[in-house]
Amino acid sequence: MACNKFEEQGLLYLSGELGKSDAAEYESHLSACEECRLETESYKRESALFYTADVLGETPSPAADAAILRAGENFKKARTPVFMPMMFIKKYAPVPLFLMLVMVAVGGYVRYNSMHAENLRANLTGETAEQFAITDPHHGAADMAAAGRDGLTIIDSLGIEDSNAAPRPLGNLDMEGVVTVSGGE
Amino acid sequence: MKQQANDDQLLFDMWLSGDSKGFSGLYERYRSRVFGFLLRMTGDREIAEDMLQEAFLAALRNADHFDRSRSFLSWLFGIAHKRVIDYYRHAKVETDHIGDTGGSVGSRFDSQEQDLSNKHLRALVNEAVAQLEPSQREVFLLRELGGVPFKEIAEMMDCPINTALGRMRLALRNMRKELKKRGINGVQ
Repeated sequence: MACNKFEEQGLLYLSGELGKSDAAEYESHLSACEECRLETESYKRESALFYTADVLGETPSPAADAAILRAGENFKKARTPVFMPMMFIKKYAPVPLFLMLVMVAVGGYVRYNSMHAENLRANLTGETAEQFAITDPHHGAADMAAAGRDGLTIIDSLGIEDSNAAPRPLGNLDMEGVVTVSGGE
Repeated sequence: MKQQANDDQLLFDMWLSGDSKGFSGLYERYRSRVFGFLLRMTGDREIAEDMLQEAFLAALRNADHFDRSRSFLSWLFGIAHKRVIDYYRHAKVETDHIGDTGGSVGSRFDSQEQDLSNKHLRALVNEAVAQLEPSQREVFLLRELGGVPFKEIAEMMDCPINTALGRMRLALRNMRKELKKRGINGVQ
């Protein structure tokens, strides 16, 4: 045999162990070398026909099969205690984990709502004063008058709107403790 | 091939998680290949069955160390191959590499094949395999039954890859010669 390429590259090519460029090189060699081409084709054919698991494989006795499967099962049982903490966590962790998540979610929701309520209450202080002014002429109106602002401006100053904006002609404190709305002309 | 690798991974994961179906699935899938290798390397059915059990249990013990980028079958063959090496080391078989079991293995096969032509083919191929020189048979079976890459075969046999390739080339040439002698068509 004159060409050694099949031994050097052909077997690796057929087992998929050649890199892309080496594989391409061997493929181009095959088109030029009859010897390697025949060798490669023969091996492919023999491998598919004779060197299969059906032909070369052997079946162990049923007793051996049973013993091995039993050994595998026993090994699993023997192994379980070693991994008990992990097995326990895997098996039972989802329930408390889920409960914890629910508790965190509910706690967060309650906390958010209480904060939101506080903020809302704080933000609505002006409105409350306004309401007070409407319902209780002796409360709040004097403060508003002293500040020289109408009720809406007080609400604006609390952050609902820009307090530097020009006063809107919507509300006017024209008498002690009473807010009138001059909407329609 | 890729599907097979994915199925292996699935069964392997079941095995790791303690599901015995993973173990039995992989065992059913690969027992005949591994057993065929062990039987031809030892020439003794009982010893080969013991080794088969040891190999699968060793795989079970070392499952956590399995490199998933490798083929499961070639990993398993690596484990089985170690059992063969240990067997010959402990048995102190006086050969230069491993025992020459070729001559008598064929007669010890206990084939249950119903298909006579297939049985006949098996017998002839087995006779041809038995004629191979032990180191050639080893490379040939690791490659053909286990699908082990030559690079890994060289590592297992502690030899340069070119030596493994040379042995394979000789094994193929001798197989062809032996099959031709037995009148098997389809070979050059």
